[in-house]
Amino acid sequence: MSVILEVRDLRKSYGAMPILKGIDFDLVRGGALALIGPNGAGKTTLFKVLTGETPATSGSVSYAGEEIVKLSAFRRVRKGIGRTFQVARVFLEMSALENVIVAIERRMRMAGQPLGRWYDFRPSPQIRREAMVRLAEVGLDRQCAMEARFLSHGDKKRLELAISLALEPEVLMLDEPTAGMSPSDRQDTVKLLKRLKAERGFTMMMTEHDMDVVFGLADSAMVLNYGEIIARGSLEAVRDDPMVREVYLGHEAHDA
Amino acid sequence: MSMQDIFALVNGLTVAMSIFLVAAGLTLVFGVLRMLNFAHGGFFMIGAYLTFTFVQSLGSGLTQFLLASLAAGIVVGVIGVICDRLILKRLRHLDESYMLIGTFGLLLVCTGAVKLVWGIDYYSVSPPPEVSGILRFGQVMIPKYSLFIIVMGLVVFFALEFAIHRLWIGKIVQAVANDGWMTGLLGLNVPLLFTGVVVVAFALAGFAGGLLLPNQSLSPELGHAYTLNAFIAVIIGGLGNIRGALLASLILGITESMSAYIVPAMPGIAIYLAMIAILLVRPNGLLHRGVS
Amino acid sequence: MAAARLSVAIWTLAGLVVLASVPLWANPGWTYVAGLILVEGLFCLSWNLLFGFSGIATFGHAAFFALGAYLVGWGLKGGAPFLLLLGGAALLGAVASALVGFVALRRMSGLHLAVLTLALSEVLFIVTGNIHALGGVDGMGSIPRPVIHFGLVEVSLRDSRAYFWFLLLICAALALAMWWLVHSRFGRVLRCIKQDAERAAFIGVNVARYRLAAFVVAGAIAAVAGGLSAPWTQIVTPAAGHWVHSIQAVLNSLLGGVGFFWGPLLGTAIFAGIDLLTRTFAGLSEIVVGGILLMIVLAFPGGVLGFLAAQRSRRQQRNAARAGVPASMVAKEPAE
Repeated sequence: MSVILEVRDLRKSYGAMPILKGIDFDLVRGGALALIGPNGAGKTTLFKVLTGETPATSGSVSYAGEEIVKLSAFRRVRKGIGRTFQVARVFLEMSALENVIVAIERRMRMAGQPLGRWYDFRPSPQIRREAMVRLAEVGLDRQCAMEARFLSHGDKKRLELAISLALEPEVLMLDEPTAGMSPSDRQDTVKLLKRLKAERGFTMMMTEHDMDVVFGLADSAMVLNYGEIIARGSLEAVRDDPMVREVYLGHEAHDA
Repeated sequence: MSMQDIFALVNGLTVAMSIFLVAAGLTLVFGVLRMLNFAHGGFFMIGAYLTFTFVQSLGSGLTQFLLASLAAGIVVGVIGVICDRLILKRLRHLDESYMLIGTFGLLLVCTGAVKLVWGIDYYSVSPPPEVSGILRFGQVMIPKYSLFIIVMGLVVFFALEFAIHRLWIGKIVQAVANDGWMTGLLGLNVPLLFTGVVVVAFALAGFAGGLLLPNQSLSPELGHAYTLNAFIAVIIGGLGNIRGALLASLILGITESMSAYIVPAMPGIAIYLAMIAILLVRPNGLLHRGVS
Repeated sequence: MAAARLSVAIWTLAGLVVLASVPLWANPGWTYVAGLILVEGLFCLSWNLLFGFSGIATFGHAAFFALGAYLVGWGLKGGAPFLLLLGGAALLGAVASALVGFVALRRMSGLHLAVLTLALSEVLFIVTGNIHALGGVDGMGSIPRPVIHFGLVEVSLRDSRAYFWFLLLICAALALAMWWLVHSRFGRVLRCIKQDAERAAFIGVNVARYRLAAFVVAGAIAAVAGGLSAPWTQIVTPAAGHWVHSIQAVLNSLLGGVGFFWGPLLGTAIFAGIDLLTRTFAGLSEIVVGGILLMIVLAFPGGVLGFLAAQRSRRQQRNAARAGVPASMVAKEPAE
């Protein structure tokens, strides 16, 4: 069981206000870790710091043995960390297909693969084919020509997933992957993610509020409260932890 | 300090206050309405031209001059309301670049209107006799008009500070600036307040135009020059911050007057160079945002 | 799709042929105006590379134009070879914009960038007005039309027809190069940066570097446009770098449509027409320019081409509705 992401004493303060107070954890390669906790606990902040959206105040983040805590976001992506946003962000003025094409071209560029003749300006047929395959994987092949801004909320999230996976990340960080979805969409997303993870073998880390999703996707969990980890381990252990129950009491019926 | 140093200092303070008088209104509009108004200097210019015309009929005494400036301020305030209703209100919700481009268009319209009504010639106006000439403090000679401007600038600054921090209307304005939606929920007529702020800011610009009329030659270039300088002061001082605007205006004014000393052939260049230098080191300005 | 691309190619070729024929049937005055439109059009295209395709709004672009114009004008008066000077203009534009971009693009917001670029161009304006070798405030006149030496062959551009064709050649070449750039992988990344810079970073794009690259290309091309204009107008004044000239690029691009590659060129042509009509009254031209800017920003942000495209898609949707296809499934053509 190798560790792909090692976080040690990670701290983040906004001015004088501490949000993350010394986070330590390991992310196991191939695992699926759920980050849960009440609102305001600092989950989004932790995500932002891990992905490079915001700089950490202090601490260490080690990715595959390399210190990345000071790297900017795009460099972390190049190392293999992918990310989706709570409110799906895609390139609205481009078609769904173009969105994925751009991601594929990025991936090939980052891997140093040749992209065709330098004077070509249209994407090559292989890239187009791959983009269609990836769209089909998330169920968006019929909407390939549609401009992303016309996609429904759920479809945008799927498109974002397709984009993130097109980059073939080793670690995929999902910020509330089912936020704002209807229960059936939620189930579909869980099935999709489970299947893709089994096929591709990437490591997953997600923040989530919905316990069904957590139980459906994750194999371990970490509970954050007021910027500190108060419980971690297998899903059952976390669920039965008395401190967690106290924190969540009245919050989710599932933990009762 | 030698005579020349004192003169340069006084000159610098004068330039500083002239920038501040325009920057203050700009800051107010940005702080409360989150609106970047590239046309602000254009209204200053209209105020100057209006004062010029009023002074022709009223006469050249100090009281007449102040009256003319106030009248110009009022007219510009009214123009400001009309502009706000018709144009600015719609520009506020746009993307930043389009807001700048739109208000730049408005500035051009101001410049064109001024050229149509008053022509393209440069005019020069002397200060009213009560404030022209020189005051002597022993060895030191200071132009009375410079003192007048410095005093007026400080008056405006303290009036704004007082209004915003001590008066109830200022507290409301601060609340609106921080959270217009919430203030609206509390029952305050937010659009009316916005209009009020616009009127005050524009009237201030118009009044400043009048006050500064004897300070330079009157030309259609004024609008652009003062807008740019005011924006520079506002950016350096931190957007929405009146104290910052004053501080920045002081820095720019003194830099400008020192450079007029050193490089008299290239007026205005020092301000731009100073801004570039400051932004290199502190890209977000010297002080931070807020309405204060 | 291929048919659409072929028709674009045919239209472009036709346009070039029509433009090339202008000196043959038009009087010298019109030819002169046509040449100006070409040069200004190139300048505006380079500005829109930044604004419409990279999301960077600069208000001092004319400074690069002026750099190129002054370099070529001064060099030609001194007898230097024209092609070398044009290359020098491109280099000068590239270096200057690299410096400006390096400083300005990293940390600054839209407003800061706008004011910074405006201030820099003011500095250049004041400086060029003060350098006697460049003619000071009145500028540098009597710039000769060049003769190009290719070893044993001599191509004289002294005749205005010959120079016009040279102008057309270079402007077309550079415009097509920019077209290719915008549609290439590089252009796709730039468009992503424009739509959502942070998202672009999260697919591994080094946003700062791409922006800088776009800035350098735009600056170099603007400088070449300036360099081409110097022998055409045969005079260069500090006004070439004045903010009014920068705003002209904004206006022309918005008028034609910033979301469309050829928008700025169309806008330049349209505005040349408007300018001819309003040139008589002092102050009227500013009101017209300002008014057009306001109107576009408030009512027609897509410009002329945007308006036409909206009409066309509305027609398509109406037809599709009649045929029973849902409106959002009607494929949109990518910006040409």
